[in-house]
Amino acid sequence: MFDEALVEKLQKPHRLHPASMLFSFVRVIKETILGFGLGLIITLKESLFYFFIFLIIFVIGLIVYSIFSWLRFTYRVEGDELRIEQGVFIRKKRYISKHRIHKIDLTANVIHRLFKLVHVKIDTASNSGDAEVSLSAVRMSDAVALRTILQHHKSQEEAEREAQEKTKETISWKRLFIAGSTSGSAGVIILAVLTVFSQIEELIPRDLYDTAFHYIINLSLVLIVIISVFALVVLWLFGIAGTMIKYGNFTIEKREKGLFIKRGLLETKELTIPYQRIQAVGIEQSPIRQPFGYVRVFAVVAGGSFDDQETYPVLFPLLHEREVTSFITTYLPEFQGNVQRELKRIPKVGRLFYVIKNVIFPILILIPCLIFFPQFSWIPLILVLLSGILGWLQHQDAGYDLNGRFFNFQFRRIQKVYVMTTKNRIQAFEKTQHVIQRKLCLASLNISLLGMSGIGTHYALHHLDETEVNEIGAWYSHRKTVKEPDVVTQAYHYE
Amino acid sequence: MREQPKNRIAKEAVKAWRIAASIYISIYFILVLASFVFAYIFKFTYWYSIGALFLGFLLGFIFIYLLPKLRYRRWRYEIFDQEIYIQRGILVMTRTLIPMIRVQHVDTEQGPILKRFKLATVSISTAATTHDIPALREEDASALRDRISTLARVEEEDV
Repeated sequence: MFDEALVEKLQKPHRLHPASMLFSFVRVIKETILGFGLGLIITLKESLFYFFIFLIIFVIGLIVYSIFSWLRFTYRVEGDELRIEQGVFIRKKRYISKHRIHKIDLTANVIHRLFKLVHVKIDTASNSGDAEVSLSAVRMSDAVALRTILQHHKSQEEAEREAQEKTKETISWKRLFIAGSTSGSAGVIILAVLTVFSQIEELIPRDLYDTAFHYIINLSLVLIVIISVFALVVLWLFGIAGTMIKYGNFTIEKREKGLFIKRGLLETKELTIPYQRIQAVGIEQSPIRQPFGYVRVFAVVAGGSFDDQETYPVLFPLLHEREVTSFITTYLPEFQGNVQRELKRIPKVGRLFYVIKNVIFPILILIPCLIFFPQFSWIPLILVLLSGILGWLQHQDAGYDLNGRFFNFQFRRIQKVYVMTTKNRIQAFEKTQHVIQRKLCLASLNISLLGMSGIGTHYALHHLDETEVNEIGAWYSHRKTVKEPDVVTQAYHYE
Repeated sequence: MREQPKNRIAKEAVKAWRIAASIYISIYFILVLASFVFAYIFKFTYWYSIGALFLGFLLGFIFIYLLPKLRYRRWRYEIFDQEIYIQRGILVMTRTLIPMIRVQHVDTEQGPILKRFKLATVSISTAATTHDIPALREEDASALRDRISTLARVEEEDV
C-alpha cells in the first residue's frame, strides 16, 4: 500500500529533528519576554551588570534544558498506537490509539522550510485547548508517512481517485488585495504601535525625545497633515501585507471527512475541520466591506486547537455576497438553502433599547467633559452620535429565521454577522426578560453552542417580540414533540 | 415557554441564603469598625465611617432581608423526560431549556451552610454550559441527580 520500509522505520523510537531545540528555545524566550517584559526593562534600568548575569544564567540553563528535553523526547508507532515518551525531570509516556485521532495538521514556518521540516499537530476529541501531541520538527517524509499510517482508512487507488475529483478553491491575488485593503487593520496597528511606544518611551534618552518633540511641534501644520496621511497609507499597506502573509494561497478543499484548509505565505498552515465538529457557520461583514458587498465565512467548531489567532476558523477570507450561496452549497451542503433567508425583524419598540444601551457610556463621558473641558466636548459628542447610529443599525440588522431544524439569525456588534445552526447543535436555550421588557412584551434569547474550549460559544438576540421568543422556545423544546429520526440521520450523511 | 416551571426549591433556602449574606455583611461591618478605630487613632473625621455604617444597614436590608425572599419567590424548576426547565432572576427573569440529550453530567454539591439545613445544590452540565439548581432538600437533590442521569443516558445522538 505504501512504503513498507517507512512503516518499519517508524516503529523504532524516533527523535525529533535537532531544529526542534531551536524552536523550544525560541518559544521559551518569547514567552519569557512577553511575561516579564516590563520587569526586564526595569531590571535593565536598575543595573546592566545584574541584568546580563541573569541573562547569561538563564540562556545557559535554557540551552541545557532544551538539549536534554530533545534527547528524552521520542516517538514511535507501535501496532495501532502512537507512543510518545518525554520529560527531563518527570518522565511522561503518552500512548494514543490511532482510532482516537481526529486530525493531524502539518504546518511549516520559514525555518521549517529551510530544513524541509514540518510541525505535526495531532488532535483527539479531548476538549483541552492545546494540541494533544505536538511534534515541533519532523522531516517532511516522516511526517507524511506518520500521517498515512495513523490515518489510513482507504486504499491508494481510492485516494488517487479522490485526488482527481477534488473540489477546491483558492483565493485570487486580486481578492486577497481587496481583503487586505478592507481589513481595517490600520487601526489595530496604530493601537499596537502606541502600546509599544508607551512601553519603550522610558528607554529613549530624554534629550533625543525632547528634540524630536520640539522638531515636530515646530513643523508647519501642512507638513504634519502630510506626514500623518503618509503614515496612514503606510499602515494601510502594512495591513494589506499582513493579510497577504496570513491568507496568501488560501485554499479550501472538500474531503470525505472534513474541510481541508491550507493558508499562509511565509508560514504554511494546514488544518482539517471534520464535518461533524462544525457547530455553526457564520457570514461576517464589516462596515468597510458592506458597501462593496464582500463577506467572510467562518465556522464555529467544537474542541481542539486550530489557530491561536483566530477563535473561529475562517472558511474563506473574502467572498462576494452573490457567491456565498454556491460556496455553502458546495462545501457545506448540510447548510444549503439557509443562506440569505428572509429574516423576522425586531419590533420597533426595541430600537430604543438598542440606542440607549449604546449611548449610555459615551454620555457618561460627555457629562464631566461638558463641565470640566467644554472646549473638547465635541469629541464625546461625536462618540454619542456614532454609537447612537450603531445602535440604530444593530436594531435594523438583528433578526432570526426558523427553517425546519435550522435556526438562522443575524446580529451586529460592529460587524454584521449571520449565523446558521441547527436544533441538535444548540446545547441550551435561554429566554431572558427584565422588568421593562415585560411591560412592553419584549424578551431576549441566548443560545449556547459548543466552542473551542470548555466554555462554549454563546449568542444572544435582544428585544424580540415575546411571543416570538416563546415560539422559538417551543421549536427548541423537546417536550411533546414527535421525533423525526429519518431527517436527523439523513442529515449526517455526506458523500 | 409561556408557563413557568411547576416546582419550587426548598423553603429553607431563604434561611441558608440569609446566613451566607449575613456572613459577608458582618465582614463589611468589621471593616467599618476598623475605619472608626482608624479615625480615632489618626484623628480624622468620623463622617465617612458613619456614612459607611448607614450604607451597611442598607446593604444588610437588601442582601439579608429582601434579595433571598425575592430570589426564592422567582426560583422554579421542572424536570420533564426530555428536558429540564429552569426559571430564575430577580430583575432580569431568565428561563432556560436544557434538553436531556445534551446533558453531560450532573453534580450535587453541599457547603457547610446548606448541610446544616440538609440542602444541596444540583448542577447540570452540558458541553457548553453549566446550570445550578440551588438548595434542594438532600433527598430531592440526589433523586433528581439520579433521575437526570438515567434520563440523559437514554438517548444518544451525535453532537
